[in-house]
Amino acid sequence: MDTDLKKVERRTIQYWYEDGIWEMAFGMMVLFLGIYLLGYALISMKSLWLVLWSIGTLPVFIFGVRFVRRAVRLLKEKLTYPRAGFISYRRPDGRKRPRRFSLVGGLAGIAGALAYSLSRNSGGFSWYLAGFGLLFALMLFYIALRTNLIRFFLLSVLVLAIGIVLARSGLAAISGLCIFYCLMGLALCVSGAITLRQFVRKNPVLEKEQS
Amino acid sequence: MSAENRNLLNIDRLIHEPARLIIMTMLNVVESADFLFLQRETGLTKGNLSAHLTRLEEAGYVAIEKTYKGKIPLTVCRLTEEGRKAYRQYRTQWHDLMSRKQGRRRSDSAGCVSKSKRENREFS
Repeated sequence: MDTDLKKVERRTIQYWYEDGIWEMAFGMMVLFLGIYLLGYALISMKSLWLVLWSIGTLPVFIFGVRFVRRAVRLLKEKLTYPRAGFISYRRPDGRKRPRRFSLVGGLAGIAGALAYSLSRNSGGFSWYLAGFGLLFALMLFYIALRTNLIRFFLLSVLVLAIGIVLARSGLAAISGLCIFYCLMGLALCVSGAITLRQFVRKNPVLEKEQS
Repeated sequence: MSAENRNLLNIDRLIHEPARLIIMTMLNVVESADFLFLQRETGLTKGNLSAHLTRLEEAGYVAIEKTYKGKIPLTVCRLTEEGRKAYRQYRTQWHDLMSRKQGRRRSDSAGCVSKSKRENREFS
């Protein structure tokens, strides 16, 4: 019975990703980040624009996160909830937040230092890009494990493959990262759009009032 | 009465009913969910789901809020603190009961094996 109840729990978590909206919004944010990075690649190193561009990174990131949250909420209110019902998830425990942030920060720091040291004797292979590919692939793999949705397994493999191919291509770090973000963002957007289309077709809006 | 039987009798029957157990499990994962979601996921009819929710509400396990979203009525359900506690207790009790039962079954089968081995030895 425990297994059946775990399936019910998993199914409830899966509901968030079922319509593909989160994927699409996250993909758009990543795509936007890629286009933003393109600016770095185009601006000459001594330009004042480069300084302004660097300062703008944090606001752009914050704006991106807020955009994703708002877009997901709005789209879900318009498309998902009238079709399949409303659901709000429990917020993570606030007391664990500092520990979680320090753990993620620590891991990112270690990964960065490792990538930097490996890149020095890389022989054309960009560990930096491969690391990014691995990081995002792990994130998507984690979602796939939690929700048991096959498309996230496929996306994680695809993202890892993009990272490795770009790492072997011998591109400069910024240009490589820019292409990586753009391709990953596109993949997520396409996958999300297909899923959303299928979801909308499969679940027509219920006209009847709720009990 | 054995401790195992006493534990079995102590189990919360209100939660133990399969449909209500599924409702409680879903609501335990989320902050709140509406009637439509619960109906779609459980596959129950409106009347059936409504009856189960009313029973859970009467027991103080579920809080039901009726609001409007535009012109459409929205029935939002969530587990109360008491409901969460009762659900956790139910899961713990059931888990203990099952693991004890499995342990006993394992020791029984081990006993059977050693008995049959002894019999084989005596026979030979």
